[in-house]
Amino acid sequence: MFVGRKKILREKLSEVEQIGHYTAQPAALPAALKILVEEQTHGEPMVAYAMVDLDERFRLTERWLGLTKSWLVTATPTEIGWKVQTIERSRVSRVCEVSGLSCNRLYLEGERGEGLLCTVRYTHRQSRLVGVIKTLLELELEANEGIEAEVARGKTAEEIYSENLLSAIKEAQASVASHQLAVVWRLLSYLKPYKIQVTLGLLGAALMTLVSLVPAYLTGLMLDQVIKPFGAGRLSLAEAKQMVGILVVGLAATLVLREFFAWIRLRTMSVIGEYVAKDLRDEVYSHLHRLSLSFFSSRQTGSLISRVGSDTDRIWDFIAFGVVEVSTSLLLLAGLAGVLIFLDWPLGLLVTIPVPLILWSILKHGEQMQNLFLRAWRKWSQLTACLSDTIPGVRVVKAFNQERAEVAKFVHRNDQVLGEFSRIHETWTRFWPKLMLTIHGIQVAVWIFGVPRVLQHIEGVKLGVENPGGLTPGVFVSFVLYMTMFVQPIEVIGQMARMINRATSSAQRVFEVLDTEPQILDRQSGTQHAELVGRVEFRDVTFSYDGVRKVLKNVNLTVEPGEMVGLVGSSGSGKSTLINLLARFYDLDQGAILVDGIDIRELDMGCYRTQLGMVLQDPYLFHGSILDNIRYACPEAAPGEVIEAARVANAHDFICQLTHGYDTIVGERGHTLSGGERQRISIARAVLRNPRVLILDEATSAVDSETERKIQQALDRLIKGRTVIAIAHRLSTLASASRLLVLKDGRIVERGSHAELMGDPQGIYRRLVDLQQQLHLGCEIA
Amino acid sequence: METEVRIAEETTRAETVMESPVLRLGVDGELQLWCGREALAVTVRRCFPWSQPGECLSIRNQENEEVMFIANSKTLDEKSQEALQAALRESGFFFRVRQILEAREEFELRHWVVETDQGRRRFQTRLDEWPRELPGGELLVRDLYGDVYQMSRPSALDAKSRELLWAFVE
Repeated sequence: MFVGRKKILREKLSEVEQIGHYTAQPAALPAALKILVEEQTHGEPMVAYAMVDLDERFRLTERWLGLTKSWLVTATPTEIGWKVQTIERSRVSRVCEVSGLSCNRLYLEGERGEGLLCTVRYTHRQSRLVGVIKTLLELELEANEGIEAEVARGKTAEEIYSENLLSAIKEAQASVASHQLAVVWRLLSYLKPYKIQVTLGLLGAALMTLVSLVPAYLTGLMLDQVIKPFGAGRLSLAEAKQMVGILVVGLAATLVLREFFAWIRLRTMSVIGEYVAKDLRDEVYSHLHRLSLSFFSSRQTGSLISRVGSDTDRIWDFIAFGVVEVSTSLLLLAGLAGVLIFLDWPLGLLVTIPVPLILWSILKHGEQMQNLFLRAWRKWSQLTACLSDTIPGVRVVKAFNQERAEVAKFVHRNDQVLGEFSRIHETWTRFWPKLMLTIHGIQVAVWIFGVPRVLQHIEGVKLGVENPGGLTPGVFVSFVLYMTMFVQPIEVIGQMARMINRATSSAQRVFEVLDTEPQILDRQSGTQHAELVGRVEFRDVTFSYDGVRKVLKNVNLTVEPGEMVGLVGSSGSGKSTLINLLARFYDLDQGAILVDGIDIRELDMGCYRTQLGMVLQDPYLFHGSILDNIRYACPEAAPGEVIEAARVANAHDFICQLTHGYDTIVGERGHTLSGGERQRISIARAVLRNPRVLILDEATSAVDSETERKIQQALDRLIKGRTVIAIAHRLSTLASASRLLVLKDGRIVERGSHAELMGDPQGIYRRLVDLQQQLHLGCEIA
Repeated sequence: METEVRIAEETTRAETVMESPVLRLGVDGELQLWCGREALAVTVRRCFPWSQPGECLSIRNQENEEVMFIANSKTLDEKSQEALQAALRESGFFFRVRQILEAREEFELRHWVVETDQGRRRFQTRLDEWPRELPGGELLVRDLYGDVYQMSRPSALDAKSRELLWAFVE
């Protein structure tokens, strides 16, 4: 299965093809220009480049902006080639960007007196690419490290270009477009473990189809070989009865066989479909848990849920019925055409020649319906938007007395939906009778051309001609019966494109998850550190989420076992990133995080995380009982231990007040509890886990003062004897911290005890404390 | 100038404290707000870019704070109006679509090929990103990158464009 998958992956559109397909712009810096640039920059290769696609009169153009180690390069097309300009990077003193509706402008200024060095205009499509250049220049201006950092990361300019140019497409699309056939083949490769059953199912389907052709033939035989000779006196009653008996037995046996093969087909394929869907669901779900947080942050939850649920269901539908329906329909059509031409070729051709035209008209009708459905979908979206807006916001609607206006809006949109669906029904109800009329027209044509030939045959027989010619009545009846069988496979084939589209879309969404490699890889032979002491060290830690903008820069920090360190700083200063790295949700770009002197990348991830506890700002409870939620990490904990943990977390009393006590079902995300109650349950969970290293991320935010006091009490008990790294906006909650660290723009800019930091009147910490006190005072006065 | 801007923040509008501020374009195309001999680099934002594009303009400094509000640009001196219009041409630039050549679905995306005043352009939108109808009947589409395309009223387009747009208009 895996070999097949790799082979198919190679058939995906390459990045070069994708750039051409989606943007129609060059897939890389033109080779001739590259050579020219290297000539002018003394052989220095481009480190990053971007296409800038607007000129000063806002016409689309193909200009280039690039960076080498020492030069900024711009290239403008001329009639004879390229005009390349180079500017020493050291001359750039200011980088500015102005963003508009669809036009952005980047301008670079030199030192005072030197003025403007360069201006480029570009659409949003190029924004990320130009953004890379801008960021590198800014970083260089800040710390003289831009280019070096990028080169060290080992990405080529071409890789940076294609990654950033395609990022919007990749984010919007569940997966890059693959060739549809490749996806179908890959999907079918999941049938490999069930080869025998699939062969049986397909054989059943094929035999069922072929056997379906027999009854009509037997009917014709009955007419020509029994009824007609008996009527003409060539058969005695006994002989006729005997032959009728044989034919009836044959017919009955055929029908029994048909249903038997149908049973084999349905039973085998529907069960295989379920197995394949189950295999996919298992594989997708377990793979999801291996993926890094970055994958989840770039995808919508609903989209991921639908991949495990409805997408695998569609795939089941395709495998269980689609594959067989399509192949049997094709077989049936071919079989019918063959039989009809075999029985009587002129009439056979009369019937089979219009079939492609009928299929084409069904295809066209499908396209028309797709357009109609698109309109209806748009109207439906407007209707559901009405619901999703007003139901959650019903308090606002009532407060502003807008009920009537909202109802009127809904009724109007509902009318529009009705209009669109009426149009859809009008269209398809008009098409299908017309199509059926055409098919009936062919039947009439068969009568028109067939009946005279039947009469000619009968006349010939009457006259005793040895070879009467024409068409025997039996063959004619068989024809008429076979014609009724044409309709169903035509319908199935008409819907084939839609069915394959739906299945391959779902399959691509599923495969995208399976093809994503986890960024955090657990070492096969990671150190199993049974009991950590809890000494944490950040050594020269540098990190960026997007590979360009650094969120943490050379952070050095040591936390001794049992020490509590508080992290302080404004939003975006890097506090949460620091604890995400400690929990190993992401891996570092540079530097190392050591626990008890061992790099956490060397530790067995599972073993390491069992000794790590987290209490987060938004405590997440799963649907289930309070008991299940507290025991989430230690399912084997005894009830007494759970109660003890709840006592420590100040949760026992409120739990006991609930009618069902610890067996109370908290609902999805714990919605039946208040924020403070949920937080105390999450603290109880952490207590039960008894971690050596504890992370507190805004654990007391967004709760009232009384609840905060209770949570704080619980936390004070929880942190005893553990290494704690805590983030808090309410600085009062960090009173127990032995040291406070102030982060700004990814660096630790202040460190010390509360008293020490308060001693610096110009310090950030002092300012934050003063600000909070003013706010607190303001609130009290208010 | 720094001081003046701060004063402006305290009084919420620069125009209330600056004596006849004027707008000029710098050599790099940068819009500058001049008050006396001091210049401040600013940008202009339309408050109602589609419903009332000519009115209510917000002049903002590099910290994205409003330093001046222009209810009607005609109240400015001629050169200021010219500078403002030039800046608006840039900040308000979008693609005007003259003809729609393709509009088809492609695995979770809608793929468009259009002829614009700037030349042929290919772009993609999400399937549930519907064209937005403007007060004048034009349609507005925003692609995956954020670039904006304004399509003329369907009645002003050719038959094929109208046919391709049919599913998206009332």
